[in-house]
Amino acid sequence: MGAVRIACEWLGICSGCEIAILDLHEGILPILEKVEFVHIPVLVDVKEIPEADVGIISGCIENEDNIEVAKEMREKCKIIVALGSCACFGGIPGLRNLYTREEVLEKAYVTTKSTVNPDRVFPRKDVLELQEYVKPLNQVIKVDYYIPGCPPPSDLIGSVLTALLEGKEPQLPTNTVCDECPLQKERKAIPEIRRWCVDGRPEPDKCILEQGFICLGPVTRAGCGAKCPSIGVPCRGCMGPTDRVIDQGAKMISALGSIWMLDEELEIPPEEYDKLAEQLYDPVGMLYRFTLPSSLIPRKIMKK
Amino acid sequence: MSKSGGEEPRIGVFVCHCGTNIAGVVDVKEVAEYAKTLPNVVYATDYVYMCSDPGQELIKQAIKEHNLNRIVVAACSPRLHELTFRRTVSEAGLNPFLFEQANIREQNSWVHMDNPEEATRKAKDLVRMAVAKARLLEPLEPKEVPVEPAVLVIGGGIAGIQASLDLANKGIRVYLVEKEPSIGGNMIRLDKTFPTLDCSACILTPKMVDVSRHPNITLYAYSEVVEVDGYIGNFDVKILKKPRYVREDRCTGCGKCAEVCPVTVPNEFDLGLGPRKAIYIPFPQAVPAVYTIDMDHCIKCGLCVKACGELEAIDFDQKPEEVNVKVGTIIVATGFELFDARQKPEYGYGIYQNVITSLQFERLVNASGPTGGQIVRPSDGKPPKSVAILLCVGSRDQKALPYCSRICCMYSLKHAHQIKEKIPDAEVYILYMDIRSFGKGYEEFYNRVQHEGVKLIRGRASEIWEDPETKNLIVRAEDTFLGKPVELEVEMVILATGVIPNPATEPIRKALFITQSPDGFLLEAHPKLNPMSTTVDGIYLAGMCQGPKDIPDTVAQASAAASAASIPILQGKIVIEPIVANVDENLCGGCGICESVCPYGAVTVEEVGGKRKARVNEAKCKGCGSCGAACPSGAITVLHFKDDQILAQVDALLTG
Repeated sequence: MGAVRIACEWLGICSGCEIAILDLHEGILPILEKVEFVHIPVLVDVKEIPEADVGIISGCIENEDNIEVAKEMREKCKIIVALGSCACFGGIPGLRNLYTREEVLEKAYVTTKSTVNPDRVFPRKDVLELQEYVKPLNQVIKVDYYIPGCPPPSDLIGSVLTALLEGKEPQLPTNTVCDECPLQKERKAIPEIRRWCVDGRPEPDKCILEQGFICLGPVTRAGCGAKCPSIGVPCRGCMGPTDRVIDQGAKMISALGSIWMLDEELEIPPEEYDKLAEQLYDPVGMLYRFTLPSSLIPRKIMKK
Repeated sequence: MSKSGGEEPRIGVFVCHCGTNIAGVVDVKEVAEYAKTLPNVVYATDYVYMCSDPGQELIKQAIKEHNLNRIVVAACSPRLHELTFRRTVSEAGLNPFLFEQANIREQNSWVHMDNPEEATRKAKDLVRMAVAKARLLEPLEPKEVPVEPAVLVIGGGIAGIQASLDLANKGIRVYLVEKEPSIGGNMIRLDKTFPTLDCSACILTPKMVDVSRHPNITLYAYSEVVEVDGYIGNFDVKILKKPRYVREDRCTGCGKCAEVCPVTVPNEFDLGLGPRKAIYIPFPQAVPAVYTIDMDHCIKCGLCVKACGELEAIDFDQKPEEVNVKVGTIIVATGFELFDARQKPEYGYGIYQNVITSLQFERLVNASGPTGGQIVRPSDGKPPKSVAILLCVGSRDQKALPYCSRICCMYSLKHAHQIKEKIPDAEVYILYMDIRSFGKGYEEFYNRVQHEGVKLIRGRASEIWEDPETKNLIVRAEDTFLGKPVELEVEMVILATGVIPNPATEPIRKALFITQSPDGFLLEAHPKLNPMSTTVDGIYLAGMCQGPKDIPDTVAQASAAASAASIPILQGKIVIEPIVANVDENLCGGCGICESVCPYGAVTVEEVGGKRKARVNEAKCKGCGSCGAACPSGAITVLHFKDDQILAQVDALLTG
């Protein structure tokens, strides 16, 4: 049997996922013995996508070009793996779904502080036409396997590739970040929500969420080794939800609503409920940082 | 393939007319015809009363004739007849949980009676949703748990005493726990009881003695319940016996120790009006008749040890003792406390000596009280020639207690009568908003007291101040009948303070996971049909802890609670509803949110192979779904209300 042919492509992306593949370090060597990277733009400048056994696609669908490349990859590759949270859920670029395409272009090409564009020159319409909103890969083509994360943990990439090479079904962890998190957990009941670093820092060794900081560990798939919470940084949810959860942000809202002011003695008057939302700084950015385009309400409805 | 054993769902839909309750608004025939068009529905019909015997028979027949394996009844709220139809379905050989009820009465015909067309459309929506869920229903098996044949009664007032005696007389073992040195509660403090004027101690002490002698009752006085774990049928209770520093098994209650004790402090049983020694029994008829040393005041002089002599009952080194008991059911009878009259500073309680509370008056007028039953005013020890009784102190007051304390009108009328009886020439005024004399013989008693010359003034007192020379009190109020301000100078004022939940109830409430109503009293399972139970299976309520009530009501509720608490014990086993939370340990991250939100203490996070995993105690779980909603990983599902079942309903609603 010849080497397994792997084709990589990147769509709307920062290239962190590609670096994560390279981050396998010597771990990539046993894989390289069995595979041939027939197409990998981060390393080799090849214009045509060749036929391949496995296609690894990172990045979200942002523009016309992304759709074309994704479809071509689907045609040329037997198996498609979505690599990274942009490909899996839409990722951070998906937060632009809160704005119209015009607002996004205006921001990027005119109003950002670092831009000088008095003539209001925009990219030509016929090149890479920006989509109205960001989509995850599986809203454009069929995806066979997912490797979430921003970036995906290298060992997770390694284990999925190894499984594919061995002809096995790649498995993602089914549990949540809390399962991997070494912090001490006691009672989940938070009198108020605090903003990390702005309203103080969490005490070490104690569950960050229990201290009132929004840690998305409970609502986020394991696989990262709880790297962030282990060093006192709240989980931002980059691995996305578990298989059972449809909407990561909504599930977190549900969890927060359940534990917020849980130990207050008497019933909370309804007018107080707003305080939960007020205490939550940038709720969409906080709870849907990586998953907005794949959530139940994937974008703001734009009134024409 | 359906998720229930592979069989294709064959759904029968039965639309109830409920007389004209539903059929008067909804076109039930059209709804039944519509149901026939839904996928997997093989039979649909309508009937005038589905819950009637012929209605249920119709379901059973259809199950046999059409080989139905899922049943949907569109009728009233499942709260009313879900159990009826589950039984029907079960009698026809189906698993009872393969039944779904669509509520087209309370949630439809009753609220849309002016819009029959839309109501019919909504009934179709509701039926379509129920059918969507029915397709995914899974059979569930109830579990049986044996019941420990013993009852814990918390609180040794009249409620706890009555409940304990009833249970013990049925042959059930009772553990009665009272935090004070003696049982008797607040009732034993009272002098006479309205409206019959029998002596409170005379009617209560025989019951107290019965408790102490009953072979089926184990009394833990001067003890507290510190921990309760488990669920109906199997509660593990930890009781802490506080040290009396007197050995219960040796003390004969002779009282020689108290005679020689040199330390005198105010007796809390007399609400500070009389003295006691550092070694004491709170009142002569205390049960158990065992002395207690108040170590906050004892100087350890040793005189009591000498007086006790050979009995050697006194033990300065006594330590708190833990007792563990297992019970099947629990009755909470933790009683009440008085509203603190100091919170109404305009009435001068705690400032003016001659302003006292009603309970203090009970001790004053009581023959075994500090004055031997003489009514005297505290400032000079003389019988007052004029007394004003202020009703609703704290009660029916939006700034204090919004509720009526229910006993104050009657005991105040009784107080007025007692003053008139003992000091016939005294002027007695009652300042009231309304007189609520609702019980048997109460209105008659009210009339009697009016005829004894007690002056009733309809109006709430606005303030009281003291004449510093005479220590008399000037009460200012508005007589709302005359529409005029009145000012009364009286020698003593009695504040009819309202009742509040006993603060000692709160830790017990939390330990038992029972809920409270907004007034702070414990919440009954149903205000009318189940006033003696809580929402937690196996835990029942008796007396004032559930809300203000008089002695007859307390006794009646205590007997009701005893009866209810004995049912599981006499049955010997309980059936646990299988609609419970279920944890998929592969998904569970052990974050513990479920454990925090569970109102019944049914979910705990335990170490399983070095990992934290949520575990559900199915006997404790009520299937409320709080954990399922909160579970961030989706590991927890509530059986019969699984995500796919609910989402199927949502889809059915949106795609109709």
